[in-house]
Amino acid sequence: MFHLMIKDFRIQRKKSFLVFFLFIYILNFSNTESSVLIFSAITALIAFVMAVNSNFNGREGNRAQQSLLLSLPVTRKEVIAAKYFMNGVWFLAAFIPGAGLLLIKDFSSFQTGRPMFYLNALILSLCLTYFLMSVYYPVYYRLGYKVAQTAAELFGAISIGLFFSGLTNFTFLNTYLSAVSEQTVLLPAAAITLVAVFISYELSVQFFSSKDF
Amino acid sequence: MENILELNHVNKKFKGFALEDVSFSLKKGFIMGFIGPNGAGKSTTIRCIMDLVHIDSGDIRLFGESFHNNMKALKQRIGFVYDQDVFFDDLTGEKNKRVVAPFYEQWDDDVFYRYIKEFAVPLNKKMKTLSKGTKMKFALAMALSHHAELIIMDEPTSGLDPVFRKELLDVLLDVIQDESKAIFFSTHITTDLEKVADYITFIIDGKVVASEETDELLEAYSLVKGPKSAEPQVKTARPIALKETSLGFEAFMEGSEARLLASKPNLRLERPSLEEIMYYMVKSGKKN
Repeated sequence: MFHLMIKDFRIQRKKSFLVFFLFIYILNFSNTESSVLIFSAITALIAFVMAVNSNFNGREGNRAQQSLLLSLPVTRKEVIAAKYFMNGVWFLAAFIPGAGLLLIKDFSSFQTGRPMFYLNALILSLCLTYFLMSVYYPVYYRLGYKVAQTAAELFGAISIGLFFSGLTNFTFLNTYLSAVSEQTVLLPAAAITLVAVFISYELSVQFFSSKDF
Repeated sequence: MENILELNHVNKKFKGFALEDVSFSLKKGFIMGFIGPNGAGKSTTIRCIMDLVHIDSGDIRLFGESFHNNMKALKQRIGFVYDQDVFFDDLTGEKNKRVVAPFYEQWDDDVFYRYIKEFAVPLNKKMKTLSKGTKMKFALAMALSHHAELIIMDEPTSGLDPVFRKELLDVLLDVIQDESKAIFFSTHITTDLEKVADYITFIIDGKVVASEETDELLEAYSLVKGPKSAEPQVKTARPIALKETSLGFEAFMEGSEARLLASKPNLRLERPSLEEIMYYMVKSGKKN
């Protein structure tokens, strides 16, 4: 399974890394508690784009590449498991530079002592990342890469558009998050994500295992 | 001798096409050619063997084991070449090798680079910039670089120039010197098979109509040629197919039936080529 994960890293398109420019947005953060949501959403979006793009490399499309993969000494279940594990890697690849950038910003403005922000952001962005993937992969394995790619690109474009259109779009969420404790949100978010990932993984295995290539 | 590949009564139904009761076997140390017209089921059969397509019923055995038991371990022992571009188009040959090689416990870089040099494949170019023939050479080098015992190839000679086709056949003959190995390949270019294949499996409309030694298959049929005046004589011998030519006629017959006509002075018996056997079998729609 490790080789399958390395494969995803190796076939990642260079242009996918452009999505990391979304972190520029973080530099404009006001240091309010509600920015946890923005930071988490950006991190999840970056991880999502990276994960989705690691499924497409070349003109031949997905069927040919699945033929290659399944002709190698791997099981179908391992292919799926590698995808779900690799989400975690893409998440870390997005979270670490983002959090690092924020830390630098905090230190340069002599603002320290908000470790809970990073912990909350870590949990929330991980949940968001896996939740997006939980929706994406069953679609990808059931309806094929064209439908999944189109839907993912649409979602990515709309999300990026929303970020750059200004924070005001998130006012209702900011207001809600200010009103409740972040920890109150995190626990249900984690629980929902766990259930979603479990169902999503089982569906993906079922779809992929029954498919002919 | 041990069968390295065995298909027993394999069935697979698709919309508008089905593999029906496909059975044949290949022993270690031999090359089997898999022939049939377009759409006959050659690629589908190969995909069934590789477990890319789930069979409805029947059994496929690789190295004496049912492939359901441990396909992952069995695939370590298989080298494959497909008729489509399966490698990553946006990566160079070298990067594709780096992706695929770690999956094989017995990957041998020395063998890989030797074949790459022999086939003159540029490893620093992206796959999408390579010609079909060069991609096929790359795929072949990949298939041969992990000491696979069974090489499965789907139309490996299509898109190749005659010079490399000859080289490829030499490589296959070289590989098969190791008697623990076997090669199974489908092709349209039957002249290639006559040179190297020990066995031929012939499939039409999803059904295997012949699976036997190449020489036996070639002996099993005859072409009978003669003037138009001799045509009624030949028709009574129930030819499989009969075609009128500018000089007379050409009849495709069972070898045993044809030999009964050998004494007729105005008839000439010829051994058909694989291509002719394939042509007449398809034309006549003959099924076993």
